Amino acid sequence: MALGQVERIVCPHCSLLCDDVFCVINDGKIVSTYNACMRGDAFLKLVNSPNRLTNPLILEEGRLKPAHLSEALDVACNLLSRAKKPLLYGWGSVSYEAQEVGIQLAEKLEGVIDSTSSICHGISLRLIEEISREEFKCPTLEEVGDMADLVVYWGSNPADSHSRHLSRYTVFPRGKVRITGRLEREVVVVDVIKTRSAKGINLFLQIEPEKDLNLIKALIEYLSGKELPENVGGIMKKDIIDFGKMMKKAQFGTIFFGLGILQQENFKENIEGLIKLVKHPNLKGQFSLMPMIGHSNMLGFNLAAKKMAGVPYGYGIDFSKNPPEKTTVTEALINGDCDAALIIGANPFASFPQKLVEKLQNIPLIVIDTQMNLTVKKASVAIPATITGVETEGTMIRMDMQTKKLRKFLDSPSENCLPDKEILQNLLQKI
Amino acid sequence: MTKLNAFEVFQLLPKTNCKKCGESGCMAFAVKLLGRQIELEKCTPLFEEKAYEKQLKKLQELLTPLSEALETGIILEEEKCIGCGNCLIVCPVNVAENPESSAGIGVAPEKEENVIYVVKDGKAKIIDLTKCRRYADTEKLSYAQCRVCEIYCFTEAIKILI
Ligand code: SF4
Ligand code: SF4
Ligand code: SF4
Ligand code: SF4
Repeated sequence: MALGQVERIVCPHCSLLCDDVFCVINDGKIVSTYNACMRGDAFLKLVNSPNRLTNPLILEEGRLKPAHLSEALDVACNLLSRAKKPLLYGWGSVSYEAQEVGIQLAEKLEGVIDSTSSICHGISLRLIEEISREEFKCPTLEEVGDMADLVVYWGSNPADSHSRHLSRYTVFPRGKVRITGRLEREVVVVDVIKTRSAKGINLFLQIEPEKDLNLIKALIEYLSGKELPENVGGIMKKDIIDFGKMMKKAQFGTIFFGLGILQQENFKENIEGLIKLVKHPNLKGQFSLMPMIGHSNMLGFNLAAKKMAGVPYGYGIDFSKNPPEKTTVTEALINGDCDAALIIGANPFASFPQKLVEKLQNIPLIVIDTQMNLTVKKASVAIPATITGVETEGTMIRMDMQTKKLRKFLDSPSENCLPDKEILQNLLQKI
Repeated sequence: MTKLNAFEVFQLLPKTNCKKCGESGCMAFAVKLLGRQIELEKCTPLFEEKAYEKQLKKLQELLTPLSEALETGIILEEEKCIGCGNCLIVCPVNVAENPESSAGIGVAPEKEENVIYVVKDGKAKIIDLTKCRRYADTEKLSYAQCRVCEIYCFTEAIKILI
């Protein structure tokens, strides 16, 4: 079969950054993909979607109207310069290089910059560092695949969030140590409902909502040799013992936890408990914890903010303070006096809680995005961008802290679409 | 869906071992029927004798889904598939034909004709099922027991009917 132009790429859609994806290109368009999961495929095909933002838009008389790029950049520049304390938010799917320029821009504007991570797993990473009083470390996904004989998904549902997690990395590959792959591993899922991830595994524990902490404590007690009650959070003693035995026996185990652990009243205690569990002295094997980070380059922002302003994971930076302080988007919008916002690579009008949306509604918005979406529709000015990893090169950080270089393999869909980094540099120079 | 097995089918046949079908007996016929190597119509007594009317109806009902399945009894429903790639990496034949997959790496487009499963456009596709270990061995009248692609498919997109 004649395939035409074929490119091996890194899928830029989630923080697994699968590097074995092929795109078949015809007439400058992606006509087919190989190895991308359904979500990755859909994302890559959006490159050619009619919903693509290819024209700059400016709000005039209550309506968004097409404008010249230079005009749109001028308007953005004016709004940002006039604001006392602009908020620069998003950053989860842009390159590390663009994130760095974003932080420089926030500094110059004496504004606030934050990413999606402060309402997501940035919190997990920060808590892990605070509680264990050491830098967050985890094995690479390849190391898990090579060595793990116990893989746990706790409050996470990889089938639907990171579809290739098990097949590409953790469970099904034949590893250096686990040479037959799946047969040498135990796979456990703990969740409040039986998700698709719970199929074909060794043990599924259906925990009652908000009872994860009880199960964590019960496991710690089991490992410490204590007697267990008959039932913990809906889970039978026998199943807890089975899980405990798997942990005791394992030489290498990793717990991949999801938002199920985080979106609870006692999320702090949950994470503290999980740390105690994986560090339990009666475990012989090497155990680790890894949050199931969603956005392709959420970690990039955390690392850039850490390097450039010394703020911990899960925080943004408030450059209106001298010296700059840590802050979060929630804090900045609720208590703060942010009077304009630049939104890049995020759709807060679709994902934020109502009280934050209300705050955003009342200030001028500069939106940089690749697609038309709810947030773009609320913009005072919208600037179209190229897609990183497709039309622009850049670096992203995988969920296990590994650096991935993404290539440009298609041309920009329009001369009006610039890479995020260039748009930001442009603003930085003008201001 | 419940699995079809040869014994269940055998129970509904005339069980006379008359050999009119050209097989050594009803059990052998049942096995071939599941392998779709022979048509039900070859068992003429079943159609000719009124006594078997009910059994015939039941058999026909039982065998309908099989007519949609491939030789190995495998059905892949693309609408359910999420492209996780579990089938592709767990299938022993896929990995033998595309050794990179032992490390979890998918199948490159230029190698797609060598394997059973590929994930293309976000969905699994069956390319060459004659390589499947379940492919009926006519001589031995038996199937290899492999069904790991079905076991580990997240979504029940893969079903093995026999
Ligand atoms: S798992 Fe994530 S990175 Fe991999 S193909 Fe799917 S969306 Fe892309
Ligand atoms: S023709 Fe029908 S009854 Fe006779 S041996 Fe074959 S299957 Fe059995
Ligand atoms: S039954 Fe076994 S050999 Fe056949 S396709 Fe499934 S995994 Fe591969
Ligand atoms: S295992 Fe199932 S859901 Fe996953 S790619 Fe194969 S058929 Fe699709």
